[in-house]
Amino acid sequence: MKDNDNDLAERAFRRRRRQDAALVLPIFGIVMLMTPVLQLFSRDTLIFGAPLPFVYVFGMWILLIVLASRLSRMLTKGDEGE
Amino acid sequence: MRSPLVYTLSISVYATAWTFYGAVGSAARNGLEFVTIYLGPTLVFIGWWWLLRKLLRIGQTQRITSIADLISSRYGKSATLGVVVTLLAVIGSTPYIALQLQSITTSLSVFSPADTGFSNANVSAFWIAAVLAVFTILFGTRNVDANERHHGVVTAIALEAVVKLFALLAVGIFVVWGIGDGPAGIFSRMSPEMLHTESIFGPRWVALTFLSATAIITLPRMFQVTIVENSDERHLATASWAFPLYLFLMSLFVLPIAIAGQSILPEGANPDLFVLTVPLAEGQNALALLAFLGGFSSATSMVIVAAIALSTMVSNHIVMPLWLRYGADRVSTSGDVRNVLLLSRRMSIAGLLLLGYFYFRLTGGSSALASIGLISFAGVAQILPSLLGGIFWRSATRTGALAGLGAGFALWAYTLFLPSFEGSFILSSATIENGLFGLSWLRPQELFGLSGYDPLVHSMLWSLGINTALFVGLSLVVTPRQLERIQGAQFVDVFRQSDSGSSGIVIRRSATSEDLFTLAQRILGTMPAHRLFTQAAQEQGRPSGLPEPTDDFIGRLERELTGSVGAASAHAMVSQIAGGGTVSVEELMKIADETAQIMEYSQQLEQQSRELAETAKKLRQANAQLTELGAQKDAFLSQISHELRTPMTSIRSFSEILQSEEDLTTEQAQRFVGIINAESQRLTRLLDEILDLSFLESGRVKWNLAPVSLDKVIDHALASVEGQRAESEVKILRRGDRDVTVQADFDRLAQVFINLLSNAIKYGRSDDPQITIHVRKVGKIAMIGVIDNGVGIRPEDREKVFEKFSRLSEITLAGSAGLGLPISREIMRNLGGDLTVEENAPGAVFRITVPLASSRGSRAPS
Repeated sequence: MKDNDNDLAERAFRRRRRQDAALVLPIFGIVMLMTPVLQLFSRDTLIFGAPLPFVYVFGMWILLIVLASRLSRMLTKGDEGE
Repeated sequence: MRSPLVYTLSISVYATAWTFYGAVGSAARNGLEFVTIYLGPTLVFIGWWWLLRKLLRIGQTQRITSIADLISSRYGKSATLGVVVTLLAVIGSTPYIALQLQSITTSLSVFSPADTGFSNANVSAFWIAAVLAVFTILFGTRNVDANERHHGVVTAIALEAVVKLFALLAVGIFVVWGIGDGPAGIFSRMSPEMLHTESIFGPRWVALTFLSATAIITLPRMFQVTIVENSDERHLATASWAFPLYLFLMSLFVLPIAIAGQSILPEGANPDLFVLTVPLAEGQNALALLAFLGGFSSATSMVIVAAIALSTMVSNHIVMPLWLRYGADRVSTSGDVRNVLLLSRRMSIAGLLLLGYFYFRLTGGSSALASIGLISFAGVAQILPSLLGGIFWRSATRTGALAGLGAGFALWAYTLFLPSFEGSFILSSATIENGLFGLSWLRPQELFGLSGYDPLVHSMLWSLGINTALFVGLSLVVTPRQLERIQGAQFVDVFRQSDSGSSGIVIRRSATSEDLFTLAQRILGTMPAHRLFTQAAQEQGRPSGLPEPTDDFIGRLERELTGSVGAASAHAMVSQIAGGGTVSVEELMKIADETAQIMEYSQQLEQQSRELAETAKKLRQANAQLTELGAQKDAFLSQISHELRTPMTSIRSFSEILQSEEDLTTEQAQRFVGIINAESQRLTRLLDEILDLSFLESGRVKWNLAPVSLDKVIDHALASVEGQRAESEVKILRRGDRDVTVQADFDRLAQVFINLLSNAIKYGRSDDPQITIHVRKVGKIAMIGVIDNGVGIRPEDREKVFEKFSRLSEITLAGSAGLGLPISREIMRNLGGDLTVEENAPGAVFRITVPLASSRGSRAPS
C-alpha cells in the first residue's frame, strides 16, 4: 500500500515535471532565437563550410524539434498511463 | 485516413506558394530573414501545451466552426463580432489568395516565354481563379457537415503537402550536390553581403517571427485545419514536433537555391522563380516540371482550404443571420436552410476568388510574393489580442474586443493594406506620400510622425498596439453581460470542466442526452425524469438507454421543465444544452441546483404548514371529542342517578311506610317488603350492569374462547328466560341451521341471547306475541337473527338502542335501564362478531354475527 502511494505520488510528480518542461521549451526557443543571443552568432564565420548564422539557426531549430518530439512522446505516454 | 501523419501534413497548408517560390525570393533579397516565417509557427507548435491544446479543447467542447465563431462565441455569442472577424478575415486573406494566383500565373509564364504580355497574365490568372473556384465548390461544399469537417479535402491537402516537400527537396538536393559540390561548395558561391550578417537580429526579425507565430493561430485556413479538422487531441502532440520538422525541411534548401540562382542566372532574374528557373537553366526540364507541380500544389491547397474556411465564416456569420432576419417565414423546412447554406458557401467561394483576382489586377502582379503574404499576416494578426485575452483572461469583454478589433483593423488597412495598392485603390499615391488631407502626421507609413521603421513593423506597432490597448482598457472599464461571463469561464477554465479528452461527434451527441437527463433529474427529481426519458426512448423505438435529443423530445422536455422553473428558464436551459452548449452543463446544474434548493425549501415550508394545519385539525377534533365525551359523561351520570333514584325512592318510601305506619296488616307489610326486595334487586342488577359495562369497555375481561355449540347456548338462554316467557305467553320458534359450532365464550354469548330474548319478550308486544330465532352459516361466520313481531324500532332510534341509558320512545323501551344492549354489543365485538339492528320485519330484528369455529379446533384468542 505504501509503495503504491509512493508510486502514484512519484508518477504525479514526474507528470507535472513533464508538463513544466513542455511550458519551458518554447521559452527556451524564444530566448535562443528571438533575443540578442542570436546576435552572438551573427558573424561571418564558416562552420563545416556553411556560414555560422545559418548553422546556428538551423541547428537550434532541429534541436527544438528533437526536444519537442521527446516531450510529446512523454506527455502522451503519461496520458495513457493514467 | 485520420492519422497523426495526415493531420500534420494537412497543417502544412501553411506552406503555400509563398513558401515554395517566395521564400527563395526573400532569401535572395534579405538573406536569412525568410526563416522567421517558419520559426514563429515552430515556436507555437513546440509550445502546444500552452496554447494550441487549449484552443483545440475549446474548439471541441464548444463546437467551434471557425475563428470568427470562436471570437463571437467567447464574447457572449456576439453576432457583431462574428461579422467583424469575418470581414477582417476576408479582406486579410484576399492578398494571400492573390499571391497564389500570381505565383501560378508567373510560374506558368516561365514555361511559355512567348506569352509574356501583361494582358495574357491577367487572362490566365482569371481562368486559374475560375478553375480553382469550381474545384473548391465541387470538393468543399458537397454537403454541410455538422462539424464543418472535410475529410476528403484534408486527405487531398496532405497528399499535396507530400508533393511540394518532395519537389522542393529534389530541387534543393540537385542544387547542393548537382550544381555545387556539397554544402561547402554551394556556400562558397554565396556573395558575402547576402546574409546581411550584421543586421540579422533586429525589430524586423522579431516582428516577422511574431507575425508568423500569430498567423499560424489566427489565419482562417490554419484555424480550419489545426482546430476544426482535428479529430483527436493526440494528433496535435505528434504535430507539435512533426510540423516544425516539415517546415525545417522546406526551409533547409531555400538559401542554397537562392545562392545558386544568383550565381547562375543573369542579373535581374526574378528571384521568386529561382525554384523553376535554376533547374531550367541547367537543362533539367523534368525537375522543373516537378517543381512546377510542387508550386501548383502549394497554391491550390492554400486556395481551397482558405476558400472553404472563409466561405463557412461568410455563410455562418453574414448570410445566415441576414437570411434568418429577412426570410424567417421560410424556416419551416430544414432542407431549405441546408440549401441556403450550400448556396451561400458556393457563392462566397466564387466571390473570394474573384476578390483575389481583383487584388491581383489592382496590384499589377508586381509586388514581391513575401511582402503580399506579410500584409495578410498583419491583417489577421489583429484577431490575436481578442483571442488570447478570450482564452486566458476571464474579464475580457465584448466591448473591448470589438473596439480593439475595429481600431486594429482600420489602422492596418490605413497603414499597410491600402498603401499596398500603391495609389490604385482608395488611397491615392499622393495621400500615401503626404498623408490624408495633406496632413503630414497622417501619413500612412509614418503615422503621428513615427518614422524610421520598416512599413510592416510600423503598421504592426500602431495597429496591434492600439488594438491591445483598447481591448485591455475597455475590458477593465466595461461590465460584461452575463452570457459573456459564463462563456468567459467556459473558455478560460476549459480544462477544469472535462478532464477526459472528448473525441468524436457521437460521444458529444449522446452527452447531450445525458446532460439533458441530468438537468431534468435535478429539476424534476430522479423518478419522474427517469420515467419521462424511458418513455421517450421507447416512443423512439429504442428498447433501452436514453432517447435521441430530437426536436420533439427537447420541446417536450422543455414543457416538462417549464412547470418547474418557469418558461423562460426552461427554454434557456434546454436550448443551451441542446443548442450546442453555449453555457456549460455545470453552470446549468448550478442554476438547477439553486432552483431545486428553492423548490425544496418552499416544499418544506408547505409541508410544515400542512403539518400544522393537520395538527390543528386533529386538535380541534380531539377537543370536539373531549367535549362530546364530557357531555356524554354528564348525560351518563345524570341518567345513572336518575335510574338509581327510581328504585331508591320506592325503597325509601316503602321502608318509611313500614316504619311509621303501625297498623299495617301482615299482608300489606309482606307486599311492601316484597316491593323493597324487588327494587333492591333491580338496583343491584343495575349496578352489576354498570360494573360489567365499564369492565368490558376497559378491556380487562378475560375471555374463555372455545368452540361452542350454538344450539346449547340458545337452549341455555331459552331456559333462563322460560319464566318470563311463560308469563307473557310468547311463542318462541327456532329456524335455520342446526349443529353450528362457533368460536366464543359460552357464558358471555348466552348472556347476549338472554338479553335479546328478554328484551323481545318484554317489548315485542302484540296480540299473538311470537319470537323467531333464525340461525344461518355465511362463509366463516354464523348469523343469528332474533326477531319479534311487535311494533319494532323506529329507524331514527336504531343506533340509539346501543347507547347507554338511551331513552327510546316510551312505548318501546319505557322504564328500561337500557344497559343490556350496549353490553351485548360490547361482548359481541370482543368475540370478533357484532350485534346490529336490522329493518323491521315488522317487529324488531336483532342480528348477531359470530365467527365459526375453525374445523381444526380451537385457536387461541387474539
